[in-house]
Amino acid sequence: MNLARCLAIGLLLCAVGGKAVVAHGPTPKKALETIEIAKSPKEVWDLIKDFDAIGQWHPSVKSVTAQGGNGNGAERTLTLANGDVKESLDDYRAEDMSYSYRLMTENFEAMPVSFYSATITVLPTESGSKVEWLSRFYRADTGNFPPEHLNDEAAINAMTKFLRDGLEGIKAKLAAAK
Amino acid sequence: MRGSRHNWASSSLRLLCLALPLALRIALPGVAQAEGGRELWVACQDAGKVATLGVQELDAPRLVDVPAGPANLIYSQALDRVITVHSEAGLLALIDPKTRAIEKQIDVGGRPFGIASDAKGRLFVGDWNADVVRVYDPQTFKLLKEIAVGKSPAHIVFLPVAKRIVVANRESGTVSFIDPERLEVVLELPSGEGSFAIGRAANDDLIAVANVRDGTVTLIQPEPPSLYEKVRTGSLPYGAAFTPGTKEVFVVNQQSGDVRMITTRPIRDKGSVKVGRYPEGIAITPDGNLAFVANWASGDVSVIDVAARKELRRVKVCEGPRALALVPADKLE
Repeated sequence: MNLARCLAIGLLLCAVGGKAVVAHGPTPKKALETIEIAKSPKEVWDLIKDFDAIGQWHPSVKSVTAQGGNGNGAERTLTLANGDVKESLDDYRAEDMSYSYRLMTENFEAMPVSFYSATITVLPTESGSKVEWLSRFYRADTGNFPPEHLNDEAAINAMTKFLRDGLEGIKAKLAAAK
Repeated sequence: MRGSRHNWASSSLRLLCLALPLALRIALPGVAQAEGGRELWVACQDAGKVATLGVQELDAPRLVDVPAGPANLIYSQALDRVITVHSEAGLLALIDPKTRAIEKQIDVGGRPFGIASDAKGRLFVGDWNADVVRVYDPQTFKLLKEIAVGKSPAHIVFLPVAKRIVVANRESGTVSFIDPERLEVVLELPSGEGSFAIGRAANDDLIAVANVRDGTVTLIQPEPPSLYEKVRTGSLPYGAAFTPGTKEVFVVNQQSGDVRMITTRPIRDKGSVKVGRYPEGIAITPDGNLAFVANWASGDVSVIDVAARKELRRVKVCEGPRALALVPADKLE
């Protein structure tokens, strides 16, 4: 019932189109993943710095359509294994090698979360670089009794895996480059 | 009428929901009290704890165990109690600030988040999923009334001078004004997309509503209700508070990781101060010297020198701090 309701609402909202269509509950969850890479921060940043370039390094992203470049408000739509999610760029800081973005259009099939914001940052280390990817998100079914595949644990697992796979993708891509 | 010029939704009282709390902002009604004797109480959602720090010392927080997932907290002056809100568990906990003991747990059910306490100590608690504010008796904590508000009521604040309870309805993008005598919504005004948190200026001269998705803050004069200004602040504004004397509004931008400072008369952007990661709640001391910001992702509190517009330090508290309140400590032992 909850699922049916959520999906129905989701479809309705999708049908409205265009606008940000995400709603969520009161209690966010966190995923934080990092990876050490034996490359200079500049080399790492050059790979990931373009908001529309995630398809080049994230193994779960099949394709990307984007507009707006790296300007605040730029948008990208990621095609994942089970559908699309649309994101928008909020805060781009080339000087800090960091940018933050958020989910605009949810898709529980593609990613069982109702809203997220995230920040990816390249940091210098003694031996090269560290990439840190942090996300704040909410489970897909924000009702009082979420089913297993739409609960907090499902959201945490999916988001953690997405970040982890992406970081491994960055490392693999840079390793293959030499 | 000023109100109509701004196309307020006015009197239609749309109903639904409960309210939500704004912990920090309700903590300091009225005039500044004697300096010094205050504690900062911080609700850490992920840790299931509340951290308490003396505002003078700020080292080594004392941790109080509370039920899981405290998403919000306020200090009720009328009850002289700190109240934590446990959204997932549908619980409130009343804590005696002197003993730090949980005195009572109130099973409100649903998905409580926003909370305010009026001059009589009645509790106004929003239910995020039911779109209502429920009002509880200050002695028995029995349900007195359920008031329909907008969709997904987030933070709630009590305005002691204007005599209103104000609710930010996150998914409606509006604020509901409740008359605490009649226990009815008397006005619902548009604010902005994702209206979430409310700051209150001294004497209820202004309130500031942080609109998360808009990246704006809406300044509203409560009495008579009218839009004063809407100002762009940064990315994902999740908290707002006023300095007491100068009535600058400090807005916490979660995605930008900073606090933007805006004078209100006239409106002037005074720049921003970088804080910790994914900041949310903010409280400013009654003397206007310090601002405290809860940094959700870094598990600490930023201490800002208000006059210098600088972050002085970050103090580790516990995991997932979101809401904070200043509690008078002159009664503390």
